[in-house]
Amino acid sequence: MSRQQTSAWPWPDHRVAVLVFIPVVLVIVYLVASGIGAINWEFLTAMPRNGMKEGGIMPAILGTLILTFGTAIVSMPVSILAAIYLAEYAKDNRLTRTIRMAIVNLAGIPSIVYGLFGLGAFVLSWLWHVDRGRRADAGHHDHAGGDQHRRGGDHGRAAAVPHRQPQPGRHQVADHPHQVLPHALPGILTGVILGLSRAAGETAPILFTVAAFYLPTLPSSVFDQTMALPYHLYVISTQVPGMPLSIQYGTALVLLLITLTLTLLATGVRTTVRRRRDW
Amino acid sequence: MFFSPVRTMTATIAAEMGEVAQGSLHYNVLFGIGLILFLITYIVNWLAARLVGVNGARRSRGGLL
Repeated sequence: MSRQQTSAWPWPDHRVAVLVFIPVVLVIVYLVASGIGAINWEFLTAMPRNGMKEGGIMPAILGTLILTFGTAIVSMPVSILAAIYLAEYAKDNRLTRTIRMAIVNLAGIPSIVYGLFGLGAFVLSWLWHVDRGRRADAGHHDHAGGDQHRRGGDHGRAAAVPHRQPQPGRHQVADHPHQVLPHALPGILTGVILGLSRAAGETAPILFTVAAFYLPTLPSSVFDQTMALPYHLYVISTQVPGMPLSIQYGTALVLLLITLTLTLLATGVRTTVRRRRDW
Repeated sequence: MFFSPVRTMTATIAAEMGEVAQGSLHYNVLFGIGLILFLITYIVNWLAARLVGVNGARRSRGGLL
């Protein structure tokens, strides 16, 4: 999708863009207005107290960061290498068409189905035949699965690099690593960051695998359970009677800020690098 | 009717999986719902690929499909 592309749609583009923008702004404004009061140093750095109704959400914040980091480690090498392969090396045959179809599908599958997969494959199976209190690693793999849509983005970016040779053959990356990869890098980075942003915000994939509502201590190995912001928010807004609203909105705001920061970072990377190149 | 609450397949899995006995019929049904969701996704994507054309114009612009 190039920047010069003009829309065939008969409406002025910017007005439609504003329509898309309004709900996002409303959500942000509403959450900031309702949640900003709960946020202070203690809220961000303390353990919860008194059945979550007092104290902070530090373990949940930390858990989300750990999960996001684990997702990055598991999924980045696979997705980036797959993207480079598909964009630069793969022939157009039944196998690669199936792979592309599978990637598109993985992006569209409801995230709860990834949760089921993680439960079956990593928690209950022989792979991780451990007690249900030790499920963190399943969470990472699970997230990596839920994160597949990013591969699609990566692939698209890599393929968006214009070929300078009139008839580009295969083995381009191997032959010209200094041409193809630097040009694809902003797209790859954007895809990676957006994927991690989604991973940070997902509730369903960690629901049956890694997430715990309350742990008195922080996780100490990849096999430990951890608290995580999306699941924490889900539980405190639906399962805990008498939960102060300010804490619910404060938690939502923190989660929103984490994902929003990642998204803005992705946009920033893209615009900065685009501005720097000459085509 | 438009203002009545509904129960979705995804919500059913999420709400009930924590409560079922492992290996029971109920448990298997929840996985079955997951399978149906997967099939729906697959069919919709397959239709979309047919419409857009897996080997069609989008491919040359660098899109995935």
